[in-house]
Amino acid sequence: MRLALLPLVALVAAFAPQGEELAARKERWSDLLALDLPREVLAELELQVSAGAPLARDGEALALLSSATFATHEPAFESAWKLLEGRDVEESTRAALELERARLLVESDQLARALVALLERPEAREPRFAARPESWLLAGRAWFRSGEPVRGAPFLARFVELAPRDREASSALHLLAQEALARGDGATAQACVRRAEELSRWHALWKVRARQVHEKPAEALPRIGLAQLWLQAGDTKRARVQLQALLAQHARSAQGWFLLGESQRMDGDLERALGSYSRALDSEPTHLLALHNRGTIQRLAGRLAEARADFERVVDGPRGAEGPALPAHLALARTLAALGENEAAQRRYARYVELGGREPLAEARR
Amino acid sequence: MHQAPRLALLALLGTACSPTTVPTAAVGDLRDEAAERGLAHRNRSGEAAKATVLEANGPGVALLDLGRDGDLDLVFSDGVGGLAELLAGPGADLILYENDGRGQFRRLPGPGLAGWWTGLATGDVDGDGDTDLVAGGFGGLAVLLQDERGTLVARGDLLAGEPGRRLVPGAPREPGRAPLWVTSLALLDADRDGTLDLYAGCYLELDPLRPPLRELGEGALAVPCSWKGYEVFCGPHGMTPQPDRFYRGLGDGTFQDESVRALPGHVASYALALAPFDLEGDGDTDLYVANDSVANLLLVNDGRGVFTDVAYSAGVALSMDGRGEAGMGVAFGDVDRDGDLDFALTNFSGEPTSLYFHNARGFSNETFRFGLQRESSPLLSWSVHLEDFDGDGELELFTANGHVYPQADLANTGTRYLQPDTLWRLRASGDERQLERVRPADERSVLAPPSGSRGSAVGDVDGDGAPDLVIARIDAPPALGINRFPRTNRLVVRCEGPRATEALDRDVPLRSPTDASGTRVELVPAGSDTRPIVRAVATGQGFQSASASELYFGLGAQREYVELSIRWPSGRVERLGPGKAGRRITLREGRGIVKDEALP
Repeated sequence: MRLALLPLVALVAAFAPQGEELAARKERWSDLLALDLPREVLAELELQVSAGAPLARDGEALALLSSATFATHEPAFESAWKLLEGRDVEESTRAALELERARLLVESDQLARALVALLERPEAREPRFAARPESWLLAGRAWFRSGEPVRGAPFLARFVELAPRDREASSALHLLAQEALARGDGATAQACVRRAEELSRWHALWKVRARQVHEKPAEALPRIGLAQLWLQAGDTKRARVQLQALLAQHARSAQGWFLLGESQRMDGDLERALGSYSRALDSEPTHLLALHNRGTIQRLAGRLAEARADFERVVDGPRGAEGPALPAHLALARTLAALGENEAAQRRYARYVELGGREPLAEARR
Repeated sequence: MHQAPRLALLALLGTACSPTTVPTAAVGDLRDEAAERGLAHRNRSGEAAKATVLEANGPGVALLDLGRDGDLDLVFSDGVGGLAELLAGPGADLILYENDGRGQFRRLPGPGLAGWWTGLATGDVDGDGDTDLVAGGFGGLAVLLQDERGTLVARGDLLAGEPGRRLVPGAPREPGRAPLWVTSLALLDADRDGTLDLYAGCYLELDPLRPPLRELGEGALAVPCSWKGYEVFCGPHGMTPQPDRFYRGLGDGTFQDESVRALPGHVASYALALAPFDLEGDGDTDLYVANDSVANLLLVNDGRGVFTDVAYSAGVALSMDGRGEAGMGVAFGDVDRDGDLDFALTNFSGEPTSLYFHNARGFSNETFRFGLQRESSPLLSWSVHLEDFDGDGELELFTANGHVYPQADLANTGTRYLQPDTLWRLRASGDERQLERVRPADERSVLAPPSGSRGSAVGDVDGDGAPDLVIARIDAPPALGINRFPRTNRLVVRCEGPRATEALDRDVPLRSPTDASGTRVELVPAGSDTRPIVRAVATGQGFQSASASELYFGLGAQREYVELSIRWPSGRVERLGPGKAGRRITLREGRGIVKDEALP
């Protein structure tokens, strides 16, 4: 059996990912676990962490395989624990391995052992591997499950500070809300619940969209939805990963180019954003938001004639009277005023007010 | 280098956090005697492949006295071979068995219902002193009154006025209309008028003509119905939940839908199980609702039958990690013997059976301190009981187990389709928590075979004073666990409220229901351990099932009790005792013990 495996391991080693590609793979495996697809992680990782394989000493990869094993094997704890036993890993990935051990202890109700693994001393206010947010999460969770919420709360609060949008952040916030309620602090509890619910909703949507992408990677709509979610979360890098994958397959997707422009605009890269909005408009010349946003960047750059042209295309276009077009009416009026065409500016502003606009024509000084 | 502090930490935390799990071999437990005692039918719940969620939930069971002969008879709910068969008719009837008084059963003709039946609830809904039945189903909610001959007579269906919600097997049906899918039911006197009301837990919208198969949604945005990467039936995620219903009992066996008044702000939530109990000890009946995959409800009664959900602030809406889990069954009992009611909640595989202790603010989640997460996570558990089967005065935790997906038997799922049922002994003293799994005494134990258990009911079917256990199993015959734990001293208490025609005493402002539903009985044992043993009359616990209304007190080696304290739903409190164990006593409100029999 071992002899038969060797060539396969060598083959795996030859194609071993490294650097950014490896990091992306790990993120993908983590996502697959969140999507309840642990068997795919097993299938992809088992060979890569076996002795002599490229990830054999990678504690992060081992931790992911352990999580997949815990979800698919019985007895769960023993199967996963055995996998980690005696593994000598690279120092840079040791924390991930140790924290996975602690997680297994927490998930198998061995709370005292988990706390020993996580804390130097019982009264420690900082866990081992404090740079890793999950160490705070695990310590907090272990204290709560031990019936010691007051001791657990500071750890969870720090976890939420370090990883405010993590998959587990809503869980931590829920526990913090419960602890606040026990103290009679309704306001804190309410704030925690609100944030927890917002995060839960976001992650539930992410799960649906990510699963749709996983099932139908060539379809445009799921990737657009996923990119929008990442933009909503302010994570332009992850949004761009989706958009680049989308545009590689659907090069004329106006919404894809528009969202790419949005991610660039959010990063302050206005020239690239301009280019992306233009690509969106190549595919869909009446794309309202692309026109508006391109016009806005042109205006900020002092290219008033170009800005005016974009805004006019919005307000004089077939959807010019619709709600989403309203800001373009004001922007056009202000652009005209900046060009010294005051009569035209007043006329456009009057139309803006007629459509329900309330902002003054003159821009507030910043 | 860190060895010394680590050891110190272990010592500090050792007692507080580490549960103790001690496997033991019982000398006798709950021996399955279903076949030789005459329980022979086989449940039908769709096809083995389970293409739709309707086929996965399976049957319930009810223990009730038909014919007022003092023994417990049996009713099982049942389904048919699939949705097509249901639509074509004639549908399934309930399955009835008559007890001969010694625990031998004879099949009786059914009451003539037609449908796919799920939840059962028992209680005296017409106030005539005998026990009636309400049966819920996929498109059915039937009230059956017991007549003077002990026959259950169907008195109409509460969905009769709602053609879309009612499913009549064999009748033409339009697509796009989902029947009301009733899961568990609870009969309780919510408004304290002395008559039983009905809470119907409801599940989800499933169009029997066009059930979703393999995926939900359409086109590019369709999402496969999958579990751990295997294709499985769709639901509940992605399907529309149905709101629960509340029916006010009118006292003559009829009910009126008062959901809007009684459940203000109610959010539809895939209900699967219910447990009525007095949460705050204020004398009215509250309700815990276990929901599938979303937040559970803790409905506090304002005393007039209007319920407000306080689950979140009480700490029992979500898992400890803040996730909606798949609540499947619920049961309450005073596990730590501090005088108030705790409860257990079963969940999906990968989620623990949870144990909550009542405290000043609400509840504390004791699951992890008992070590229940590790013990129960591989199991998908349905019905649940907190009952003193071994008669030592402490409650055991029983869960009926079995997965919903036949695909659980495929590679790398971490679980199995058929699973053994489980019984744990629980000990809670101060900070110490102990969980001890009762290993099956032999292959005849109900705890031995892997099975697809769903509903279950507790009651003394053979008249020896010890609680037995009936388990309804999906696509299989039922199990009847006859209590074979070593004999201990026991007391069986039956409670009766005043007859509907009986005038109330002047000092009692409210009328208790005739079947004494909601009565709380507290027994103080003799001897050194005088912690009270608390029981409450509530038949509807577990999953889709109804247990006997009589209360079982285990006294271990003690032959006597010091006091029995009875708090009736009317608010009247009576104190009796001291008394002897080894008896089955019947208490009538205001009249003390009206019947006293020796246990065999």
